[in-house]
Amino acid sequence: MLQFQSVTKRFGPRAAVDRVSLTIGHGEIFSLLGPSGCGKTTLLRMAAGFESPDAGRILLADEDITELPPNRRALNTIFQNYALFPHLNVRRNIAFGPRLAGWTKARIADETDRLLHLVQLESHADHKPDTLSGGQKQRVALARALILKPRILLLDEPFAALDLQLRRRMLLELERLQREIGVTFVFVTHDQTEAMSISHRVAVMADGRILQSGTPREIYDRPANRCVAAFIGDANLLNGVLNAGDSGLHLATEAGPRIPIHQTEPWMTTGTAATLCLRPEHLTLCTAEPPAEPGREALLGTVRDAIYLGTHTQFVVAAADRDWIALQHHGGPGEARFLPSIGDDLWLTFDHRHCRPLPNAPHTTPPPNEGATP
Amino acid sequence: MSPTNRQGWLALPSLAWLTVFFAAPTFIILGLSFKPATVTGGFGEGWSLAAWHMLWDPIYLAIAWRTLWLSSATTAICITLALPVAYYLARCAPRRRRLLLIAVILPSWTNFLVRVFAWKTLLHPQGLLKQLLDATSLIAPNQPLLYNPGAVLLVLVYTYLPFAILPLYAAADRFDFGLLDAARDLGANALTAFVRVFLPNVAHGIGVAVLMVFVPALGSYVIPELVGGVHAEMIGNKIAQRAFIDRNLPLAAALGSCLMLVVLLPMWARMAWTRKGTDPKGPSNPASEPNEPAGGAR
Repeated sequence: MLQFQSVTKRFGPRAAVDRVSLTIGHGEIFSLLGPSGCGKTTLLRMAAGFESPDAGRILLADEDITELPPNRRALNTIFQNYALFPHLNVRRNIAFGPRLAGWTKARIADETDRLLHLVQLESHADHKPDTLSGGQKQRVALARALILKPRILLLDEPFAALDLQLRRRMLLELERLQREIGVTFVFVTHDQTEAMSISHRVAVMADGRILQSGTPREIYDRPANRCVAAFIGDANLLNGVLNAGDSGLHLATEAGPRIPIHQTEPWMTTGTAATLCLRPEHLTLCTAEPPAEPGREALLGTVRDAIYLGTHTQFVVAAADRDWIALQHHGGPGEARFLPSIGDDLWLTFDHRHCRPLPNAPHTTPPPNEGATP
Repeated sequence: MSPTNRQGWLALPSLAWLTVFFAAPTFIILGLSFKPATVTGGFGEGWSLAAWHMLWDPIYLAIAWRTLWLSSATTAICITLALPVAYYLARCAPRRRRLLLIAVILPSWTNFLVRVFAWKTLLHPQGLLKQLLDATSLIAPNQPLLYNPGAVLLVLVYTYLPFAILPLYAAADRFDFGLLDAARDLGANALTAFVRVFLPNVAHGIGVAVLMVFVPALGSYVIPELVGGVHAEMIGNKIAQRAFIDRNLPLAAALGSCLMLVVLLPMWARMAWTRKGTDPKGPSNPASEPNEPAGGAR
């Protein structure tokens, strides 16, 4: 549907977007996720036509739109600040595109009414944008973009200005709209929760490149490299080096544990610095020293911090000269779980199965859909 | 006493100033225009409409017409030239913007009269501009550049252009240029976006610029006097002639009052219109957010 082919954009000597290739399918909800300055907005602006790439091509439904001006592209944008026209009321804002397109008066009126109903703003049709709340403004922006029946809707940090409650509601509304209308949505966001919860697929960007793209689950469970693992969710990332020992290749971490590697990937060569990724939910806390078990590590530590988060508590445990993030679910009613408090000594255990060795540098990225976990 | 009333006192000094130096003289002039003139150049006893009758002289009508079109043309040209400048100023890098703004303001550091005389020198038959145009055969050799309405228009535009640029720049600076992206996104080409989104949003600045150019242009006296000559006189010149040469002060007062009305009537109409326009009909309440109907989406 929307395809970037080795697209590059430079601002001065710096490449804001560096040889990005990406295909977004029809009807997909796709998120470009990354810290600010990673090039995701530039990529979106190139798709919309506000920036033109220095190299590469952009295709929309197999048609080359690289050189097309924004007004000739069958896609519309929701801007971060919504960019509603302050001199026009809600109805005329929504009718802006159709009027330019030369629709008949009757058709404009019908379609505007339909969109007003869709975003539930009939009662505000005659209001000027500056009298609307953030959520209302966003719905006007949505209606204004959707009335033109774009094949793709580009959304630039659409929820950045909304509070949490409203953000959740808008996310649900967008999902509903997406199901009803079947438009392809491309989000730009720096909020991983937002990206993970709504998207079919996510592309994680840093320094103008795509580090990994895949379903939210793939990216969380099988991050392609250290950067992705650090950006998506919480993770214990241990520095280490790949060594060849008697029992085959293993990752020797600075923190102590040596993790054998059963399934080697092309980037894994002896002497390479690598990262061990261990998600907090894979760490188990216990009071007594667990019996030694092959394939299982146990470390003695002290609780440094405990953050109550409703369904679970997140712990920061100092062990083996570093901090570990672990979490403990509270369980159902009447179910007493072990909940240590700050200062307690305890044992931290984890399974080798849950340890994921990752390359440090993004550039040796293994194909994301290949390296299956053992 | 409510705070607004208390703050009302703060306006007193400027109000007093305006009363003494603007409202009172205006009414005195208006009153004097209804006095009869005397041969010695003073005011006679009683009241008379003689001065106002004299205004219907075709000479005055022709000059009034010229004054009006010269001022309107000046305003139109100034706004047309100032709009792109203001647009560019608001979009360019701050460093360059400062330089350009200085360039806009700098000429006004030179005395106004000196600048008009400079134009007179340039446009003079032996002047640089005329010689240059003759050399390139761009104009007929006997076509004078000086002492015609064209020369007045040129110098008026030159003089009042900064007064159009500055308010327009102030308005453009507040304009969210992201709106142009939005317009482009919704199918507008660059020109349509400029006309349908940029212009309406700087309308206030255009209004200010119109006033800042049109009003002083109407009252121009020095410029038509120096570069217009007898063929391009404006009302200002006639007022000066009546006051200083023939000493018909009531006629000068009547001419002045006319000019004042031409300026004040449109302003008053505009104010009345704006007040009607902003009359709050059903105040919208952005604070009603929590009750908005979006919750029913599920």
